[in-house]
Amino acid sequence: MSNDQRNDPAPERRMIGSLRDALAAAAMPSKPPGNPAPPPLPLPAPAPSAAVVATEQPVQTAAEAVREARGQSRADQGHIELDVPQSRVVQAAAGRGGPDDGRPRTQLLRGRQSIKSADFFQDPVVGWLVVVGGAGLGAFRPIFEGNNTVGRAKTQRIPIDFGDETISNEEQAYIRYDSVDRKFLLVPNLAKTNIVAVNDRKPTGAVELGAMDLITMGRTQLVFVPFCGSEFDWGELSEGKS
Amino acid sequence: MLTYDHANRASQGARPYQEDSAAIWPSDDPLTAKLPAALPPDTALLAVLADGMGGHVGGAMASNLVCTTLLETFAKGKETVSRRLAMSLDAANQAIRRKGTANPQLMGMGATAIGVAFSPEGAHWISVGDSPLYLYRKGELTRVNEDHSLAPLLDKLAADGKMDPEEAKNDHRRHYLRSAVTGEEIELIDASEKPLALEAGDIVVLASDGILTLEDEHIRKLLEASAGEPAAKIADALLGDVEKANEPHQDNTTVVVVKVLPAGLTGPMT
Repeated sequence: MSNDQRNDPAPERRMIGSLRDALAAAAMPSKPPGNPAPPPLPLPAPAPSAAVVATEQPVQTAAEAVREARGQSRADQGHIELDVPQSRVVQAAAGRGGPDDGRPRTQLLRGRQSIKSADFFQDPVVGWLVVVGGAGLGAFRPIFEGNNTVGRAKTQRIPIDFGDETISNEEQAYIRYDSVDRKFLLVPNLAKTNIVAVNDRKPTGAVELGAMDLITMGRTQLVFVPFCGSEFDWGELSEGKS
Repeated sequence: MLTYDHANRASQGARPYQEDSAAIWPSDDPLTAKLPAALPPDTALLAVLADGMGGHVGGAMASNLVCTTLLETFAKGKETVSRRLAMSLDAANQAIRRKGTANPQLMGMGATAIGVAFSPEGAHWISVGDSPLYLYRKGELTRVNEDHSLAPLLDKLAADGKMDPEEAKNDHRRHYLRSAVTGEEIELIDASEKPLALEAGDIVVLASDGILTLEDEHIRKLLEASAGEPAAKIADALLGDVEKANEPHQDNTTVVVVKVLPAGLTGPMT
């Protein structure tokens, strides 16, 4: 119920009321004396009169209230099915009014496409580290999308927890895979005492990893085996279908 | 002056970690501990929700940081409600950037964000990402904010006949985000142009995308059936139905339910 609206009409209603009075006055053959002449009015077109009827309904529906809050008038809604109760339709069609509206907005896809893990059984693997020397010989550890901490602790995203105490407990290095440029980077953590080597170099900054590169941490030697890269990325899975 | 009944509930689903955060101010929620007890006169209630991403540690930290920064920045500001929401989002984004810069292992963390400020004029919102904000009114459910995942674009392709509808529905890219709070420039921000006028009986729901396990019609029916219940019961019922769906990979689900109550001595709604 809208008791307040009835007892204390909102400005819109007053405006509509005076508009109606004005229309009525304009329709009258002779003006009552003393009344100021109403301003010249356009003929009441179907659209404005529909708007008057609509605003007379005391309560907005949820969709109407949302449209108003979004700053969309009814006139903007021509191509949208007003009766669809779920706004998925409304909302998809009523994007933030750029000039590109109505076209597939591919340019919006350029940015970082963060993979949410909803569709995966587990974090999707993008590569592996295989132990080829030292404690854990023959074992492997998966590398995941994004940033991977490498250290001895089990809490690391890539735990090298085979008993080599000369590896830093946490974050001796980071291995990053970025699905946009599809490259692997090894980033040494210079705050740690223990040094990481890639092949025969001891990098002080990020280095790109290539297939079969040898990483030495402490007394452990690891070979890098990529799964994702220029040939494949998880993002491609459904692109082939469409 | 409208009054509100509110509740905030979370479920971890099938995940080993909880990456969602949400809070209502004022409340006894730990996230609001540092905030002043008294609200600014232009706001009756502030509800925030964030769904984190970026691995086990980063995701939880990002959503927590986004929520606390939204709350604290909003509480301190003196500007208009809408302006304060925008400033709070900007502050949250900067907080994520600072955290990532200081801790390289947290780089790439981020979160969705919804902030809803309930003022005497209605609800003002700001939103980034795919966490839905719903308005339920008299049997009708409407999604209020934009969905910044790929889902609307895939649905549009299907609607235009450029993609098989079934394929669009099952495309795993539906969950990709086109915009999130990551510390970089936020690509898409959705905000109210005007306050959303609320009425007694309205139910506003903020949720993380785990709720999408339930079809919109399911949510609508649930709200219709439980509209007379306290907000806490409604929130429990929503999470209960998500859990009942028993999805093997059920994502974290968090809901904030805000019910608009009839003012003071006004009789029951008809």
